[in-house]
Amino acid sequence: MENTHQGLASLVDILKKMRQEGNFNFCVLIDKDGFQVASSANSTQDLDRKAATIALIQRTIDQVQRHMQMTSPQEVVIFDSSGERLVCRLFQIQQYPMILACIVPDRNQSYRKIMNKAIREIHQNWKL
Amino acid sequence: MSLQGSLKDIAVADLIQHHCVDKKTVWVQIQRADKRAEVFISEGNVVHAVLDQLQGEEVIYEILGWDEGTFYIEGDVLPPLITVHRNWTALLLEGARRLDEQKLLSTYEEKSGMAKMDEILKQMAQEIDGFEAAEVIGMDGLSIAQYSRAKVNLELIAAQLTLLIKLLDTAVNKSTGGILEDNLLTTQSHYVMMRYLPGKQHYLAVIADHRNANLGNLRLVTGVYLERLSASIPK
Amino acid sequence: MTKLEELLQNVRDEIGADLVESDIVGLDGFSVAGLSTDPNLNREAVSARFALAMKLALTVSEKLNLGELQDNLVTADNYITLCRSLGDGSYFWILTVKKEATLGMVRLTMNDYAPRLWEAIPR
Repeated sequence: MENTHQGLASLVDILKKMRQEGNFNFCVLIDKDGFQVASSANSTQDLDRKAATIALIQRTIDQVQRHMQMTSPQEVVIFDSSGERLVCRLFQIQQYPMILACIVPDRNQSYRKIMNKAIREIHQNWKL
Repeated sequence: MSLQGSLKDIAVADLIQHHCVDKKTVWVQIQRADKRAEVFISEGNVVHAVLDQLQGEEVIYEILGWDEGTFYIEGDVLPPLITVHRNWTALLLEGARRLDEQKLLSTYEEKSGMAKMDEILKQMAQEIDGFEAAEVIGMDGLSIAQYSRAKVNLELIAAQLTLLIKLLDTAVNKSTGGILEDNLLTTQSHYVMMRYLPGKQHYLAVIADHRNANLGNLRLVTGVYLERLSASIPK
Repeated sequence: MTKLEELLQNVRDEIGADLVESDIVGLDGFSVAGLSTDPNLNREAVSARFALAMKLALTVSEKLNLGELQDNLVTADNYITLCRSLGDGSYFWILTVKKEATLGMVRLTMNDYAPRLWEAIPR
């Protein structure tokens, strides 16, 4: 179900395009607190729950950075046994940390180029 | 002869006019807070005025706007200097003209500031999914800027939400020793976001339709617009 | 351990180290069950004050025709307090977490556990 949007419309359009190009199950842009900023999904899914769960990844990333002295991790991928992948890209717009996440259904499907393009467009279209 | 009183009972213009019409020679001392002005009237004409480093006509124009303070008048005191040359009627007329101009300017500045805030709220509304209404509200419960797309009673909203934010402020402070930053009320049909503007003299309230809004969008956009609104508050 | 206390422990396990205090209070502001991880915080005082605020929030929601109150999320500089109405609104669940908590997750956890807590409240 699409977000019926009046505001930040370009973000929703970017996610919709990304989802369609990549044939992803859903795409969501999440803030650091696990709330959706924008989303695009092909069915009525509990996106709030997904967004909140995905945001937990940020906590793990923080720990990894701290204890393993890695510079800013950018991508986290979780595979399940069917080959479906949850891909999370971490980035920052101005002072706002964000996670762009999607479910890639096919194990052989590429996603990185499509997600890179979406992130670029989000930066370019950021009006706030 | 000496006389004293309060500017609440008689205006500065009336004090001057009365002694000029009667062709008196008096020394008028006017005190407001920590400022003290002296006006010398000689045979019915204002001849000298002093306020701190300022002397002459400009002192008269300054004190004509004083509506608080006290005065003391002593008769037959000669002026030490002559710094005012305009006759008293022209002085008072010019003073009245300047006061009117100042009032117009303040009203315009206030209205401009408030109109600008309304405009900012309108821009913000375009960025918020499910937006219904937004107000900038003072801690007295009165709204200083408003924009709504839904039929809502904005005055009632301002009054009720102010009661709530004040109680929450106390709850946070007294129980955890913290300082309230913002509050998000969720009902079955609405989100109500309340965020203090810097300085905590005003807060932004935004109401959005629960079905169409999402919290990340609401929190992000209201956070971004706080500074813009704060910068536009009329002083 | 009562069922209610057990559920509150489960919530604590789910939320983890971010949880500061969790309390079930009646409309009178008195606690029926709760736990706290911060000895410097007076759990009863927190809950009583926020229960009062929730009662006002209920009134405000009604007066403004905003619909039935679900929850209230209070962000302060030191903690975040989530207050949720339980069942018929005769009890509140007051949950305070650290600022680092993932709010979306905390809120969802409260939504998930609220019906079970309501069932477990002795009436």
